[in-house]
Amino acid sequence: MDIILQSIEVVFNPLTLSLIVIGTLFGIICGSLPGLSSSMAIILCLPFTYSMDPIPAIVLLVTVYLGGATGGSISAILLKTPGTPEAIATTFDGYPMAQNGMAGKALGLAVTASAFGAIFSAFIMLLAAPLLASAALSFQSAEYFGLGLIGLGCITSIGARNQMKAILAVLIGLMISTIGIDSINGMERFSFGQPFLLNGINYISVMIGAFAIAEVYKNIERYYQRDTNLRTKGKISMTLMKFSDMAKMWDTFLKGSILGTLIGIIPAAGGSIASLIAYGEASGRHKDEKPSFGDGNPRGIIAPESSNNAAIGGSMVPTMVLGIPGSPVAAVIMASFLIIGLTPGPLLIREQPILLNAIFLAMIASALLLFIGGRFVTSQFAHILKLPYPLLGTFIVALGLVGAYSLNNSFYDVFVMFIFSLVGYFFDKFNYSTAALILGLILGDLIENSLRRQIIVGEGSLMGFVSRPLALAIIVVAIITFIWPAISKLLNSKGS
Amino acid sequence: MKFSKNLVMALTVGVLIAIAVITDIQDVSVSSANLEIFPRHSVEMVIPFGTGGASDIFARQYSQIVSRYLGESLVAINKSGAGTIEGLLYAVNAPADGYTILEITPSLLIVEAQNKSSVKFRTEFEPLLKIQNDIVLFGVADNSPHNTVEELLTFARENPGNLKIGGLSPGGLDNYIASAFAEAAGIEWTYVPYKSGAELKAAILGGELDVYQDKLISFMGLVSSGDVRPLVVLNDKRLDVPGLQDVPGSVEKGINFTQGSWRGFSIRKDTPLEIKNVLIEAFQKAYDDPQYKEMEEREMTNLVPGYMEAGEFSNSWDAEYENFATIFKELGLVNQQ
Repeated sequence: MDIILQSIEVVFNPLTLSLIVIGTLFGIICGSLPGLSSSMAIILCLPFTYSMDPIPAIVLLVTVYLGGATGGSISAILLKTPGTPEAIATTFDGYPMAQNGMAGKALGLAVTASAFGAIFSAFIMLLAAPLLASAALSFQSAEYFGLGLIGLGCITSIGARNQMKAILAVLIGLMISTIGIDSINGMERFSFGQPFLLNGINYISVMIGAFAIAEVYKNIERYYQRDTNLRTKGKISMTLMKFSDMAKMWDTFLKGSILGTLIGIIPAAGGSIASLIAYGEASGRHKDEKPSFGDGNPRGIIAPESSNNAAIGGSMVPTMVLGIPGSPVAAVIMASFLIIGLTPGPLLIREQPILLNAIFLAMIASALLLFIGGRFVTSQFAHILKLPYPLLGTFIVALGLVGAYSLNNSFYDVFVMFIFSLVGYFFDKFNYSTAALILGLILGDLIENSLRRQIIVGEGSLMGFVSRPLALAIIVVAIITFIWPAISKLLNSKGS
Repeated sequence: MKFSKNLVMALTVGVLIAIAVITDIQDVSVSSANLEIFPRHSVEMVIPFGTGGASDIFARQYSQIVSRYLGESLVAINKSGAGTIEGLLYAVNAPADGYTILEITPSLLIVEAQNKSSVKFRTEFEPLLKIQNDIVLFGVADNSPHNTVEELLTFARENPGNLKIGGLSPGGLDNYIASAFAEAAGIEWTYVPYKSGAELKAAILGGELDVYQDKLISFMGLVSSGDVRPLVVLNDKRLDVPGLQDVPGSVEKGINFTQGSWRGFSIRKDTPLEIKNVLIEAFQKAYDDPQYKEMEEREMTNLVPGYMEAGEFSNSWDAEYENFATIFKELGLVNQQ
């Protein structure tokens, strides 16, 4: 009780509260701009924390993380440009929904789901951190492999319209993921002697090219052919759905949050993988709903957004308890723990009992602030959307250019972006799924490396996948995800 | 509508011109370089690593201290593409006017030793100052049957290739350390590469790996929590750190191998001497600054002083290069062309 009172005192004083407001807003703004990822936003804040006490400093960084994970959805929905990697899955249904004139509703859903996910995971973090952290350690190479397979199983629902083409797109994505230095034996693969290919193809520049820039090409084409005025009509502002409407989709909120929290806890797997898996789960379960997934189904926004924010609380669990960051962004937060003078690990929670409670309170406060911050940033974006399309299109291209360049401060990534803008354009024209391509690209790395690592560790034997109960369970779920659509079709045809 | 079409054209052209201008800016500054006053504007510090890693955070913190003595700000910029090669290319293509400084670690020598880049690091750059050493330790999980380094080595000799040691990135420093240590100790073990420190730590705690290697500060987290039992410090003597006083150094155990990471700064070779001296002075003063001492203590990089002046630093490059080249040739990781 004393600890709770103390942490309330630390968090709800004017300085910390204003840091929460600043952190959340700064996070949303950075998140909504493709050039600034959550990790970069946190690094930019780092110098300001040198002179702060540890708790306000950590509170600032965590709120920036939370704001960033939410901000990414704003540009994903309005411009088809995911502002952060976590928001990829949000573009699948968020952008079509906005195109159907329901941009405000899509944004409202994204923010509500984000806040729900963040609050859910904050509670889990507070109540079960030490327990869950040690459970996370049963996740080893064999289990990572299974997790990757489950993610890949999503294509059966993402590419529901044309299975064959979706599978082809995934395979191309998997192939592209093998470019660069092989991460098991250090050999160069498909690099053609070009140094810029050594680190592989960055999926974020592919994503910006194939989604955002390809969409601009498509709109330019429409603009010339029909000479229509593509200007967005009406006012865009964030609108919240009626509570009763949202309550009907409670299961998606909850499942997204649970998946997000769990995947966040698993070391090194963060919001991007969580959101893809949550999206796959939701689209598989509700695939007969109208509007269908990919055309603006509200669950297609709720699932990824609740899970990518839930991954934040989840990823803080192993970061604080074990000193093992739960996501790439949490790794940056952990590095700043050390600068601030805190050593993450079991001792941290014992020595700084207030810290965990303070992060919890800050996450709750920040989640509520998302509604205000989201509204503010949305209204700024709405001004941009009112521009005539030639200006808006140029703006999106410029934003994408900056976004790709700033990944490594390198023009090669811009080059990759333009190549894949053409790929995305033609994929779209011939009904190949761009989302499936990116899914393959993101997961290829995880699947290949964990498979090969498990083989090394198992001294050439594949038994590890069967003898480890958790791995076996995950792989079985993955296989079911793959073949379920075929089975259900078969069952249906027998029934009728 | 005609108007809008022209507008599209105009904007596209505008963007292209802007890109062209940005890429050309550096060449303009060559002619205006004035030797008498240095620096006239901010100096760029190229970090050939991604944001958030130990080397990135070190360079960012250090550059803030240097800025105070230089009188102009030192701006950190990450060029992490192609495993440090992009940073190297960027720095080598910048004019040799002292306005572009490159942070360096053993990784740059490794890239040269593996013949991966067309730019040869040691022929194009010269050192300013080496700032710190980061010691590497080996350990095992606390439930491991191996209690001392002797037990571990005996087991490894009896079961060649059975022990698994983890590390980051194949063909990187961790891979070198694992292989060169094994060679020096006359053992064989299997190197398993991971993508991030997080996965590596999870693998040792979860039982997938037998041997854990890491840099001191990161290693200490798991030691103080009791999850990892430290076995050997890759150093010529023991470290005076609570919890590590009883851990032997590798040399003490008859294994003549001591390699850790280190961090320093370098600059293009043909930079005018006056400018170089201004920079060295500022970096030196930052090194003596109490704020750096505090930072060093916090990150435990002060235990084995890494400080080296330019001349000595340069010699150490050649020695390390030879070691890297030998081991990586054995591992088959040296490019032939």
